[in-house]
Amino acid sequence: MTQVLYMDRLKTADILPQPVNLNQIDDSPGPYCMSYGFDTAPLVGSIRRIGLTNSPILARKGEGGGEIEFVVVAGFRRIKALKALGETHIPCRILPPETLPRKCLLINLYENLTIRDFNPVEKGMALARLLEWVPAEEVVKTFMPLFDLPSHEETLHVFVQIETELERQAKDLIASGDLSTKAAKLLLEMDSAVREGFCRYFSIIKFSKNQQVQFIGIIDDLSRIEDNAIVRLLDDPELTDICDNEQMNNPQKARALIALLRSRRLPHLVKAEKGFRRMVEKLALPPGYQITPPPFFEAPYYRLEISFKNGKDLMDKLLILIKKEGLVTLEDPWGKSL
Amino acid sequence: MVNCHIKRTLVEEGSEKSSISRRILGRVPHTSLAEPPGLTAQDSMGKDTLHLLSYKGEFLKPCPGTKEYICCGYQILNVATNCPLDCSYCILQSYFLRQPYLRIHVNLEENLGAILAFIDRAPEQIVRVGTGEFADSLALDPLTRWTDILMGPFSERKNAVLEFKTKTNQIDGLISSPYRDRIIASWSLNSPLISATEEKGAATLKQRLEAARRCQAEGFAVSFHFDPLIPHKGWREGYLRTIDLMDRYLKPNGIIWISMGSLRFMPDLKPIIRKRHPGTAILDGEFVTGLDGKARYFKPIRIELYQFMRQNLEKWHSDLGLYLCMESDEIWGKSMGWSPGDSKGLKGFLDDRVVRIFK
Repeated sequence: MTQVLYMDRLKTADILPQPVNLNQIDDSPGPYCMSYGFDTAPLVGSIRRIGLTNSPILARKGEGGGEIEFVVVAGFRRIKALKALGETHIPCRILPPETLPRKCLLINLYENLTIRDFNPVEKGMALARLLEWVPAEEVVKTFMPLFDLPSHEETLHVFVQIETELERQAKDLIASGDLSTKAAKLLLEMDSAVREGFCRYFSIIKFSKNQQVQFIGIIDDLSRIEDNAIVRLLDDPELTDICDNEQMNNPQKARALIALLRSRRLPHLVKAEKGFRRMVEKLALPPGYQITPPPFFEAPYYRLEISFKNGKDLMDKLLILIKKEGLVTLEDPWGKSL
Repeated sequence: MVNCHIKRTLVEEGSEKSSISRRILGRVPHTSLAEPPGLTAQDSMGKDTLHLLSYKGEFLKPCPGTKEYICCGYQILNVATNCPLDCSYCILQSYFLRQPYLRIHVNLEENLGAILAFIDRAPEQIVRVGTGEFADSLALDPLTRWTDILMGPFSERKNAVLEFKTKTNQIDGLISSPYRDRIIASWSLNSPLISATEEKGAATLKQRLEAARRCQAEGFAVSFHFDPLIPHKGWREGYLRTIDLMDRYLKPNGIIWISMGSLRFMPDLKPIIRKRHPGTAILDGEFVTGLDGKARYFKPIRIELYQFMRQNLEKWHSDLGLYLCMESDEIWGKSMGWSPGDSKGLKGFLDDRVVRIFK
């Protein structure tokens, strides 16, 4: 198949560019477009400096197109950039009318694959378009690795859903890297009003990928436990106050939101963590000592870290620790009952 | 009873000749001899379809415990995978997500020799074997008659026991067998609320305990498994009610052991439970990540659950062979008042129970 495509590419390269009026080109994302969330500025700058080096590829529209005669096969971004530069006529390669849609799609796909990375929305667009012409099994086996995606049917489904089911706001966040595909997968299980509520947060708070998943997961759990709609939970003043807090920077807001939700979802654990911190603070250890519980208190051992300069310093610090009043009272912070 | 739910049977090529297949095909009304289709039926897990096939792996395998927690050293006899019951918390939902259908390993009899040879290799070692890990031991027994195949050979061996673990009352195969020695009839129990709401397709608590009473009367050793224990609204009263029912139905001195474990699951099970059992409340608990990567209740919650169960079960009878499934030495100590120390210690404790009960 690769070989056949290579020969086709040679034929496409043989087509001589001819000037086309930009008004005759449909510049809406057509059936072959795989571009989403891009910035035309760098391309505009490049064309301004060195001109157009690779002419766009067009296909003729069917009858009834009116003034619009062509659809973009490859070069959607270039056409946008040339329009921004005020060009009226540009050189384009026009495919013969007998060119099949599947071939047009593959021309665009391989041209793009060689020169740039695809963001997750673009991967979804490409995979969704491929599915119109290529059996799902072949898309999974042959095409998904080209996008650095694992050959899993489930992954294919998620990326196609990103393209076909998500709203513009969510897609924009994914394309800009502000919403991870793992978080998007969770949002796909929810309705659009809920997604919109989450996206409002993700567009103003820069959560890490892990925090995004935590944020969605805890809100979803709380909604079931507290029998409260997610959209209402997202409007909870406790949460919105953190977003509006001008004293905190963005990472602080993200951490504060997660901490607040965690205290509602895991009240006993959070209480134990606080209790343990208080116990350690009560010891009033001088700097250089650190006592920490195991993650979630699950392992049986607590951890002591001592910073020291040399053996004598270590011995001195151990002596201070041994003489510390209250050290023997250090214990599991939940006492005898919860 | 279960036969009514079976809508079709898929038979792997060559598997139709085995005696298990012949027996099943003679009893199941709608049969199609066909290759299994692709990975479908994930929502229902194909629980209405029997898939008769030859199992290529080893039939007898140690329970896949993890080194972080104390394991009882059980041997799993893999006679089938998947289960016609549909408990919301069932781990098999993720284990067999891509292997739907009730898969019956019809070459069990061909492999029985190797299974028994493994047991006979070390006659001084007690081997505790169960068929209820990857399937319910008795739910499909009216069709498969595993009891006919397995009870005789296990009964003849002094260093092995075979535990049939179930949530059903399908005990005809057990009762009609002439064998009693080395056979343990076993039931998973829970609070009445959890049994009624989360164990779809299972017998009611009373039906299970009635079946256990019959088995005791017929001379079988019996065991019980409170696993998964799930804290829910009114859980103390609920579990007390179950213990009260046990008292009404059973003689405690015929019980070889009672295990306890709390709900735990790999993270990938959560979305499956959400999808397959949308109304369930079992995921509402306070779960943290355990040392084996599984979600588990926060430690003091587990300790409280086990303490409560131990105290109340011991009020009923002081020698029930209580043990914890996949818990740490620390949790053992704090909830049970003693600890076997490690997996070897727990195996020793349970092996001693075998020696005592099956003198």
